[in-house]
Order: sequence, then C-alpha cells, then structure tokens
Amino acid sequence: MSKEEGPVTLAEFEELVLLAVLRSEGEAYGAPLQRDLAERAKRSVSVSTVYVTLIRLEDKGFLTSRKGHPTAERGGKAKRLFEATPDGVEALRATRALRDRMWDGVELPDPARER
Amino acid sequence: MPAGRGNWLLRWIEGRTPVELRDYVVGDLEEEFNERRARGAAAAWRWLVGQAIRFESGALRHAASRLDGRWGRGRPGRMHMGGGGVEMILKDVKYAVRRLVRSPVFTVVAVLSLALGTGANTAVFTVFRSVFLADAGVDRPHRVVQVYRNLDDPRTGNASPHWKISYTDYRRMVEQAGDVFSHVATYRLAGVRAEPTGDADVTTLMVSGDFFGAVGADFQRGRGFAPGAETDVGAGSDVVVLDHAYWVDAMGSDPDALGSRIRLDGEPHTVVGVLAPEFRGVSTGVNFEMYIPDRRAYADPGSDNLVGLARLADGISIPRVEQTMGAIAARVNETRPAGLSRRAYTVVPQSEVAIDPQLDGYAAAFSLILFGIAGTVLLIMCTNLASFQLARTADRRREFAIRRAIGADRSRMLRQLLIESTLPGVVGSALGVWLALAGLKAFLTIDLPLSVVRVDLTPDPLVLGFALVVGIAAGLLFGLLPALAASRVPVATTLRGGGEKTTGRGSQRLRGALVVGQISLSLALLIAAGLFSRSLFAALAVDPGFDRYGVATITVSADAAGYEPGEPTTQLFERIRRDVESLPGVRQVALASRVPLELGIWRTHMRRPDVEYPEGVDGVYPEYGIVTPGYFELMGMRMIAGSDFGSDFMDVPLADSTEMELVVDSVLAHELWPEVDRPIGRVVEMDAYGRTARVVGVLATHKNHTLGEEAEGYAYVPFAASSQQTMRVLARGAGGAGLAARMRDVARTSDPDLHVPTVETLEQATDSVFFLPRLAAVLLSLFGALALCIASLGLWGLVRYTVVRREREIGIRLSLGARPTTVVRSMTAAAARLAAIGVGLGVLLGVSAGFGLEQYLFGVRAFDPVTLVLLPGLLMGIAALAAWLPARRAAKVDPIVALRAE
Repeated sequence: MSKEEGPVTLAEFEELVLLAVLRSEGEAYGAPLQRDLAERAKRSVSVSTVYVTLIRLEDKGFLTSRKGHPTAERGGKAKRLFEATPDGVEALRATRALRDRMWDGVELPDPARER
Repeated sequence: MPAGRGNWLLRWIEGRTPVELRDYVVGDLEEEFNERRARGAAAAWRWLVGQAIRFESGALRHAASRLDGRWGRGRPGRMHMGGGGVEMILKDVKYAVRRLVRSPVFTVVAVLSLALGTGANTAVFTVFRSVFLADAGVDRPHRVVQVYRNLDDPRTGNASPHWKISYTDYRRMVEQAGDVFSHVATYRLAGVRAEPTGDADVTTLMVSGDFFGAVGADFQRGRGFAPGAETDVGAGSDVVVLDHAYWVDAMGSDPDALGSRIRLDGEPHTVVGVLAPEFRGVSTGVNFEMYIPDRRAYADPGSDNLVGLARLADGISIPRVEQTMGAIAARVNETRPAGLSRRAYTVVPQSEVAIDPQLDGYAAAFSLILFGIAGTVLLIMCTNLASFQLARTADRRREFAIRRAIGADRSRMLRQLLIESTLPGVVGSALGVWLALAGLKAFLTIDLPLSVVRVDLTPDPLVLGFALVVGIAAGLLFGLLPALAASRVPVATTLRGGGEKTTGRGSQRLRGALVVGQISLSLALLIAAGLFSRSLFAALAVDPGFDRYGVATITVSADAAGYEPGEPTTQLFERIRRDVESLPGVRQVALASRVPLELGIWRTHMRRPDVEYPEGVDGVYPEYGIVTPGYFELMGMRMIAGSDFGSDFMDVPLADSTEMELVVDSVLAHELWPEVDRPIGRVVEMDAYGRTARVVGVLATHKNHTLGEEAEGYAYVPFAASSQQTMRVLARGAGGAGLAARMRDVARTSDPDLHVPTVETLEQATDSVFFLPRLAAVLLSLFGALALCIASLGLWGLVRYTVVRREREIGIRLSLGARPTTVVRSMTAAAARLAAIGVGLGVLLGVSAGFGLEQYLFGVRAFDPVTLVLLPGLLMGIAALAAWLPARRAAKVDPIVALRAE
C-alpha cells in the first residue's frame, strides 16, 4: 500500500504499543507498557523489542517522549515517558477503520459446527 | 549509576545496551524485576533470564543510532573502553588464556595455590571487616558517646578506664548534664530465653532511657521504646524490639509480628518494633537479636553493670562532654567519704568502638596475628609460583628472542607475561573467596568462646575487592621477576642456539633465592607453630588444682522463674539438686556461683575484728564464690585443714543464725592471719552478709582465671547464706554432655519456664584458656606443613632442573673419569647450601616472630631451644632428601647419549 492511497496505518505490534501508551494515561514508560502488553495482549516480548518499536513510532511522529524523574525502585534511573501525538491517534483511527472496512460482510463459520 | 547493585544479570544487559538508552531500558528492567521479586525471587529471576536471552542489542543499537542524541547522551558505562590499548590488552589476555590452557598442570597448580593464599587472607579480612569496618547503622556515630567509669580502686585492685557504670550514674547524666546530651540511655548485654527459639540464649540488649533516640535507629516496622514510660523506673509495660535478622530467621518475617506477644524468660512481651536491616546495635562485632527495657537495672541502681550511651546535642563537642562528666564526678566526690575511690568517667566516641573498648585491642592484635599467618602463606605460594614461572619462561627464551628480533618492544612483552601471571591470580581469588566463605561457615559452626561475634558471610564489594586486589597483587608478585628476567633475553646468542643451555645463570640464581625464601618462610611458620603447640601442651600439663573431667554442668537462672532480686532461692535450687541427684549415673551433686577459669570476678569485703587497720585500709577484698557442701570434693579440690561446710544447706535456718561458715584458700588464710599456720575457728566480719564468718576449712589454691596466674586468695561462703539468683549445678558421674542435657530436662520438670542458658561439661566450661594456643597451634601447624611441602617441592624441582640442564657438562665430567657419587654429591651440596641459608634465615625470622608473640605464649619462651633445634634439623633432613632424589639422576647420565645430544 502506498502513501497516496489513504491515511497511514500501523503494523500490528505498533498498533498494540500505541494503544498501550494511550491506555496508560500519562504514565507510559517501558515497564508498565511491557506489563500491559504481556497481561492484556498476551505478548511476552523483550524490553529491547518494546524500545525498538517505541523509537520507530517516535521517528514516524506518532509519539513524543520526554525524560521523567528517577525513582528508587528502578535504582535511581530516569524514566522515558511517552505520549501519543495527534498523528498517532489519527493513525490508530485509520488502522481501525481499515480493519472495519475489511471485516464488513465477512461471516466466519461457527467453530462449533465446523468440528 | 550501576544497575541493580549485586544483580550481575542486569549489569550484563546494561553493558549490551546503547549508552543513550541505558537508564530507561535497564531502569525498566530493574523496576519490573524488583516488583516481581517481591512476589517470588525464583519467578523474578526466571523472567529476567528470559529477558536477557531475548535481548536484541543489535536491533536496539540500530534504533538508537536513529535518535541522533534526541534522548540525551547518556552516561558512559563500564563496557565502553575505547582506544586501541584496550584491544591490545584484550589480545594479550586471549593469548595468555591460550598459553595457560596449553599447560594445564601449571595453571591448575597456580590457580589452586593462589586460591588457597587469597582464601586465607580473605577469610581473615572477612572477620576483620565484620568486626572493625562494618557500619553498625548508628546515625552519625561520631556524635554518640559511650560513657564508662574510669576506676582505680586501690583497695580491691580493680582498675580499668572502661569500668561499667550504675543506674545511679545514668540518672546523674540525665539530671546533671544539662543540655549537653540530646538523648541519654544505658545498655547491657544479657542472655534471654525466648519461646520462638527454644533453649539457646537470645543475645539481648537490655536498655533504659532513650536508647533508640540516642542511636538514631531506623525501623522496618513499628517503633522504639517510649523513654521514661516504657524504659525507666516505674515502667510497667513488657515490650520488645526485634532485630531485623531475628525477625527474618526466627519469625519467618511474619508480617503480623507487630503487636504479637512472645514469651521471654517466661514473661509475655509485646513486639512493638522491628529494626531496619542496616541497624546492628552498638557493637559492629556483636549479634544483638532483641532489645528489652532493663527493669533489673532500676531495681538494683547501685551495681556497676551498664554502659552509658548518649547523643551529643547540636554544637556540643567531645571535650565539652568530658568537662561536663568531670564536673558530675567532682560533685559525687564532694560527698564521698575519704578512703573510697574517687569517681571519674571515660567518654569514648561510638565511632571508635568495634566490639567494646576493652576487647577491641585484643581483637585487633588477634587479627594482626592471623593476617601475619595468612600473608606468609600467600608469600610462600607466590615464591613457589615464581620459581615455577621462571622455569617456564626459560623454556620460552627462543620465542621471546624471535619476538624481540622482529620488533616487539620490551614493555609489551613484559605486559603480556604479567597478564599471564595475573590471570591465575584473578581466577584464584574468585575461588579463594568461595574457599574463604565456605571455610568460615564451617569454622563458625564450631562452638567458639566468641560465638556471639557476628561475622557477615555475604560477599560484599569490599571483600570481593580485597580478594581481587590480593589475587592480582599475588599474580604480579610471582610474575614480575620471571618476566623481567625473560624480557632481558639476549637476542643474538639465543637465536644462534647456544644460549639455550649455557646462559640463564641469572634466572638460576633467582630460583635459588626463591627456594631460600620459601624454606625460611616455612621454617618461620613451623617455629611459630611449634611454640604454640608447646604452649598448648604446657597449658594442658598445668594442674589447675581441680579435676576438669567427668563433670556435667548446667546454669540455672532463677530470675527467669519469677524470683525477684534478693528473694531467697534455696527452695528452687534444693529441688533441682534433689532431682539431679536422682538421675542414674550421678555420684555427686553440688552448686556453685561460678567455676574456676570461667569469666567473672566477684569480690567481697572482709575485716578482722581483732586488729586495728591503718588509716585508709579497712580490710581485704578477696574474690569469692558461693557453693554448697560437697563442692570441694566434687571438684577434686584439696582441703589442707579443717573441713567442708558443716551441714546440708537447707538445714540452716538462715535468719536465726548470727554466724556463718567460711572456707578460705591458703593464700587468703596467710594474708588475713599471717601469725598462725591454720586459722581454723578464726572469725572475720563480712559487711555484705551483715554477720561474722568463722573459718571451718583451709583449701589448697587452684587456678582461677588463667593457668599462668599466681594465686591471689579466694574465699568460699555457703549457699545457704545467700539469695543468689544464678547458679551452676554440677554433677560428677558418667554421661558427659548427655548427662548435662538430662540435668536440664529434670530441672525443668516442675517449671518449664526455667531459664537454663548453659548445658555443658566442666571441661567445656573451663576451656576458654586453651582456645588461643589451640587455634594458633592448629592453624600454624597446618599452614606450616603445607609450606614445608611446597618448599620441598621447590627444592626438588630446582635440583632436577639443574641436573637436566647440565646433563652435557655431567656427561663430560663422567667421561673424563669423575665418579658418579662425586657428581651426585656436588649436586646435592649446592642444594644443601641453599637449604642451609634458608634455614638460617628461617630461624632468625622464627625467633623474631616468637618475640612478637611472646605475650600470647604460655610456659615456653620465644627462644625455645627444643623448637629451635628440632625444627631446623627436621627441615634440613627433608631438604636434603628433596635434593638427593633428583640428584641421583646425574649418576645415571650416560656420557655417550649426553654428548651425542648436542
């Protein structure tokens, strides 16, 4: 899909990470994001994967980030706090719309009957 | 900031994370790890291992490169060692590893001996650190002082700048010191029987005043004691504060511990606080397990058994405190009758105290001796490895010559050789730490007289750093000389081929010197071992004046059974005595307030009513003991004249009698009645009992505190005349320690709460005088024997190497008609010369070490002819054997083969 054909959409993991950022309401940094992805999305991924995706999303302008305050439970190290940009929200909306369009008219066979 | 102190896995990940992401990524991991660990350490570690395995540093580095510094530069971490020098060093390390792997025998020997050497030093350092370098968790300890009495009492002979103070002294500090102190308290050490931990004593600090305020303790849970309301006269509440380690070990970190009640000496106490793990009490070296208000101190305000503790108010200096305490002492002295000792106080900053101001000196000297032994062992290991290394580098002369010829610079070669020798040092020190901790763990399970001393066995950065430094230093030490010798190789001669066998005389001399060093050091160790062994035998041979064997003993404390100070305890002890008597195998039973050779000094005042004492003297203050009839016979003590106390102790109606019986030893008898030979029937006045005492028996003297002491006079009064709270119950009979355990059980039958802090044999109770010579003899013999083996091996190797190297020369001599025995003799003689020099130096070293140790020796002088003849002789014999065995090879050299080899 080329850019001219419609609004930018997101890859699946990007979508999950961006949603996790929105879900965490201002306290979006690595640890809770990773936790949310593991618990809710059942994606137990390494911290490096999370950061690679975060940096990519920031590169694309879907996220901004700033340095947070260090806390004791993380050994006095600073947090990197993320926030979705309007572009990011727009990309999410477009991704969802694309899905919905594709789902429209699809009727899956009932798994119970299939068996 | 380094990631998660102590978490090597986090640190490993940190090293693989790009600098600019380090804080965020590692911080996230650390935060999540800590959260998971709170729920379960094993699962948290599993998670972290998973994270480490799936950690993609390449992808992360790639992503970070696109950031262009947007997220900040980050802090450089330990893994970033830029520059070509580092790469070169890494190359050298790789090369060194390859070489070490190629000669496994040398590597294993080097690693093991360095492990042993660093292990011994690390073990000593671990103990030393626990006692002297640990942070006791006292808030700003230089602002806290311990207060003692500075006592010098000419009448009793008691003198110490660190005499304990009384509750009355404490009240003076509270009421008269003004605003010098912000918090004032006292403490004393006690053993308490606590329900959760059973029979063993719980090491308890009895405190009064604002103890926790004075030390500035932090609490994990709850609070300290309310000063006054809970810790001073009239305080009624039974409260206890637990040490963190006790809470974890004995109560399983029970979250509901606060407010729960535990029974201490039979009395329920409410837990009001658990201290923070950092707080270790007032002595770094001692393991306090709980803290309770010291109600006994206010019940008996006159007895000197407390240590004063105070925090200085803001702006107050130590000299100001000394001045204030001096003024308080002066006020006391104004009202004190002449003839009594003048009161004075000693002020010691808390920051200068490790265990206790009186013990610290001994502990430091003891540590110094142990460091001396461990250091010598390490030195011997190093000399041994150095001569090993010399032989190895001699084999590599060709390699070095080639490298020099093609332009390798000398410092580079030196560095590479040193890396080769420090590598085993580093590995050895890691192994040494393990050895040290495992060894200490095993050692500390032995019941030592100093078992109350806390030794922290967690390998903290200080101990690890120490071991690493020692290991590297040892590696450098043994590698430096051989490396210098090797890097000086003459290129041309060596490459021409001739050098290989004819030169190297310098390194040969060096090896000789090293062997001399080894022999002398091992002999010095052996001489010290010999001196301590002879001390031990001399001590064991001393007749202490009583029979230490075949007696079981328990200590019974009546105050824990609800007896108040001063209340007669005869019924309790009479019951226990009867019960113990009925045990099978028991032949005799007696009670005593103290047995000889155990700690403790009790004195009492006596005066003759029939003499005029000069001004300022009002009698004598002998040490005394309280015993029941039958004690002297049970202990095997000899009665010179008269007899034991007359009647069984329960038969005497105390209150009605105006006179009591007294037994004195011959020295006290002579001091009191120099004019008569046997003062049976003579009378003294005893203020403490408010009545006169009539001598019924004169006892032969026995050893009382040490085996080397001169008898100073000792008195015995019958138990019936006392309200003694704590007594030893002694039973002679078969069964040893098992009998002692049965005695405890039978003592507890009618009162399960009875406190029985010690259950042992008399041999154990009186064993502490043998502790130092025994420990020193065992340790030194062990290390001395090890050193001797190593030195012999060194000599053996040197002679063998010489023979091999000089095979051609020997061949020529043999073919020219020299007799094989002459050749062997000349080889052995050269080695014997080295051994003789080593022995000579060793004797010098041993004698000077002996003079340094003389104050710890018993019954033997530093210049002990037996030790100084036997051990050097033995060493010479072993050295001759070690030289002769390889020298025989020389006789077997076939001249034809040797000459053809060229």
